[in-house]
Amino acid sequence: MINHYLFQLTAFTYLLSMILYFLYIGTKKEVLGATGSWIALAGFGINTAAMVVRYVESHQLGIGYVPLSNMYESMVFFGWAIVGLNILFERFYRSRSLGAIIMPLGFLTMGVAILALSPQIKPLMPALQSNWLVYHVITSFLGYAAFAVSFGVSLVYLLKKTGREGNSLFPNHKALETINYKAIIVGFLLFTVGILTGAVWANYAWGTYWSWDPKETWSLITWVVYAILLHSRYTGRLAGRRMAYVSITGFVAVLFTYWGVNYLLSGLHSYAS
Amino acid sequence: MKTFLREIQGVFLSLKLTIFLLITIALVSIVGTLIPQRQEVGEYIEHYGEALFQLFDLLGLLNVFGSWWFQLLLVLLMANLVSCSLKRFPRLATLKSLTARERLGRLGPHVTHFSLIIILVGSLIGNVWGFKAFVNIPQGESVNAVALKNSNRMVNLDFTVRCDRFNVSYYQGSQTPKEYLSDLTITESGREVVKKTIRVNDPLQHKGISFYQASYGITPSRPGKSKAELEITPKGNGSKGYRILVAEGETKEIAGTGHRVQFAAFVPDFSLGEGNRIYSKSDQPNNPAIQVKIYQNGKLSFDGWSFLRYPDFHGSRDDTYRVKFLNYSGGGRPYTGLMVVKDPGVWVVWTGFGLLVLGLFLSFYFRRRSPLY
Repeated sequence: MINHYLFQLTAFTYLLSMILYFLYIGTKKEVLGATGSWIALAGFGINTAAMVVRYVESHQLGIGYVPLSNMYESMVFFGWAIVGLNILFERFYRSRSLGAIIMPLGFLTMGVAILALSPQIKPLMPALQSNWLVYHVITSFLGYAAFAVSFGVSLVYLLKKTGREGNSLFPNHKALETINYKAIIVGFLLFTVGILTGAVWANYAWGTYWSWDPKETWSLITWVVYAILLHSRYTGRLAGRRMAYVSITGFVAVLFTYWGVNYLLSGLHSYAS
Repeated sequence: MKTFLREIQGVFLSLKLTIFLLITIALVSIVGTLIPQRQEVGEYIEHYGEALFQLFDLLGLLNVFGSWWFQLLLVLLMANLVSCSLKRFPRLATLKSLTARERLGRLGPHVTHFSLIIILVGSLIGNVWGFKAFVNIPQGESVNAVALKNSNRMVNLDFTVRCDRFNVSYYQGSQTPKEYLSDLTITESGREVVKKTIRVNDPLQHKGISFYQASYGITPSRPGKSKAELEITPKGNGSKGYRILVAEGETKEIAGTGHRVQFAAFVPDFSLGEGNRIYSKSDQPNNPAIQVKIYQNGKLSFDGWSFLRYPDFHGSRDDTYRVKFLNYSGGGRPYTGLMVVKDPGVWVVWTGFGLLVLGLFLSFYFRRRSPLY
């Protein structure tokens, strides 16, 4: 199907962009960063087109649904959201170096999707036939993407050497911390809406807005980790390296909520095969 | 006494208690996802062995979220939340001295915390004054009582629910269900008051009680009672097939042709086992299959299986006839499985959700430029 090829092309484009950003960081040549940026934008466009084409092709198969219903579709949307955030953060903070942090995450996501997940368009089970699926998945994954950015920024925060602040193209520690915090705020808001839309949907589908199934419980745990982070930062008790560690912990919780629950546990939510 | 109460108050007012409660709830919840909850005793023993099962059971780890101590943790968290929020609520004088933006920013966290309290109150209302139950209604029958989910008790409804029709449709050529729907009619004192076709994601609500399409099944079919509709196309006949209705076990001649068709066997959920042994995976009609034998001039000239869900699949290499399994009836009756829920607290919860989003937005959009301390 055409959408498969477009997603594969997207992955290669993200890879190219990532390499250019790395070279930019290494050589400090502005033109490399600019090219990486444009390629990321192009990849984002291809990614968008791929999702639209997948939607159209699903209709051609007589099934017709918004492609957000399984691991493959959620991963390629996750990648799209991460790269979208890259474009936004780059514009907002006027720093091309962020691409070197965020594009690897976008590429990894696409890579895992096209290498490890089945791209087949399969008909939707009755439980998934609802508009709430769209609201719930979009907000949850936009939240995940912001948390992924926070994760990348926290890693760089921890790995970046202090002292020679002026030498590196990356923002200094203070700036990285601020970017991290802003990413978490955006992520937390979106992720909260994601959990809430999930609860409303569950009420229409299963008669109860919360049943403590592993997916719901882990999403709550993730939410609590970030809530603790936000509280501690607000009261001035969490900053610097410790905040970076807690951010990383939060993203580990995100990964468990997204992948761990589906493949390591069982329950109502495990739509993995 | 006064100092004792003061001390208790002090505990509830501390942020340390909040962190402790949150972490405890998180850890206990994690255990609740790693150990399957509320399963059959036999399954636990098989998976963990007798000793571990007894240990988990003793520690209450097999029903974490329904246990009294988990509820207690949530109540303590709520009390802690209420105390801290009341204590930190800005004084009126302070609020008056701020700009509109600053005021919204200061109130943001309070709205957020208040919303969490509202959500917990809403869920409490649902737990105390609501119920969750289940009921199976065979097609054509009515019920006026439902079985509570977590106990053996029945709840009487003051109306009757009748399932006029239940239907499950599948995607063409597959076993993936496309839609389950139930035509339900509610009657009160003999009069029909509501009629609705429910599907998954589209429940029926009446007098505060909601009926959700949850599952379905077929009461096991009694052997020898099914009738099958087949389309038989002999080789060389082009596309001209003969339609015939045969009862299980019966042999019938296609009028004027000399072909005698026998409905030899039926399985509702066809599957191949070891050594290509044919068996039924369950008694639900997930993959209905019929064994058809056709005789010509007294001799057996065809013996093969046809599948309801895969009308174009011809497993037998013998193409003397093409046999399409079109339909069947009789045997077991379909029943619809409904989740029945009464939750008077649900709108309180929805209000809490809305306030939560508002509170977060206020907190972060109008946030201070620097940390509090």
